[in-house]
Amino acid sequence: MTLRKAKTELTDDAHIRLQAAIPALRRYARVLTRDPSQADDLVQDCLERALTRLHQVRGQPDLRAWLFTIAHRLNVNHWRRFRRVVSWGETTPPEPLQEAGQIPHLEWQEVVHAFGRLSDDHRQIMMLVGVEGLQYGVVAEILDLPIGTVMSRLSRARAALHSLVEHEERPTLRRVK
Amino acid sequence: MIQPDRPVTEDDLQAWVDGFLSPERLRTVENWLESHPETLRRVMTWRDERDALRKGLEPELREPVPARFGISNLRQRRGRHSNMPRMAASIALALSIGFGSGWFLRDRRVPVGLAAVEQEAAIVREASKGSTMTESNVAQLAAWGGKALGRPVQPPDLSAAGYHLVGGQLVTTDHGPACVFFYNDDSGARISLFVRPMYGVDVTAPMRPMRHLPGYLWAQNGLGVSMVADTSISSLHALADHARDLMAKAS
Repeated sequence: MTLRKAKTELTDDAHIRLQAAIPALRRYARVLTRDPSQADDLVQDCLERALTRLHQVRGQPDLRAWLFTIAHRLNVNHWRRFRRVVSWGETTPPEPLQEAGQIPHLEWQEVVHAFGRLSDDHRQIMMLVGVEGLQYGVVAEILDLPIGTVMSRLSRARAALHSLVEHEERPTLRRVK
Repeated sequence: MIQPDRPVTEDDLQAWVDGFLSPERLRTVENWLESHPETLRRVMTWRDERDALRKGLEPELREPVPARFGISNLRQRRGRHSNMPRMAASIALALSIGFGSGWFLRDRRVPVGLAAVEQEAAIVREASKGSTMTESNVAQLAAWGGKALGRPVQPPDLSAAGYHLVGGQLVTTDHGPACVFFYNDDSGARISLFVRPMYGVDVTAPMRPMRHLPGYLWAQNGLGVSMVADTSISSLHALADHARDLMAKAS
């Protein structure tokens, strides 16, 4: 009886930790898919899988990295292939996500806009390291990359983001010359 | 031991931005940055842009979480088998197979024999995730499969090894119809068994591991068979041997 109760409590606690990580998982899934509804389908897939594997993260307070790893693998294995099939004619990347009432402050807007124009690899690394603040080793595991690749990709992503921000700030000034 | 005063590298600059430097290393890097104002400006810009990005993307974390992501809803959905997702999955499957063949045709070389079975099994496995028929329909599937494949097809009973048949699908490939059967064990680990007739090439072939997936591949009595696991399972080879024996007995 007590064992069963202890097990239930453990599961409840795991569920709470899982729920707490969902907003971050949704945000990462949007980076992966570039489409809010596809992102939520990926989140759902990911959570269903996570539910059957909660025993893997017993005692781990923050489930973000674990969920990101599942989401990244699912995306590589399945969604990317599926997306290639369904978005046959897509040529231009969609605008970064902005919903009414959530338009960021002006100074941030440029950076968020530039972020939306980065390559998939660069957006992922900027999200995991820059925004989520995860350690390099953790990010290397999520993306299944050697740590050296993570470092060089991060460096290139930061340079690329900055050059996009610069470029966006003064397009007219350059043309006046 | 790491020398705290070794030369400053690009990795140090990234770690400076991310706040991952040890206190000693931080001192060294900041001393160095003082005499390199150009680089200092660069890393400060990176840090500002990182902060701006954090702030700009922060509102997404405050969006209400849809009810479908509640634990009880996720549980319910896992147990449910409605027609709509299955239908959607079949369409995805058909598209994927179409896409797959088109993709492979780009190489101007459609593989034959076991190599073809390997590709098809890989595509079907990806495309059919989460879309299975109910167990009661498997007998019917086997009958259809038998008709379509022109010979009886019976999914082997792997329950002695802990894997239970949970469903299957009839699919089309570049080389005609094929059957794929899905099995789960008690922990939810899934394997799929892909079966189709072989025509002329590799009518019987010894078992070999698949190249890109955790799986095994063989041909027996004119049927090409592959067993693929969703995650790598140490006992997969033994399980594949078991399935091959059972199928040999049945035919």
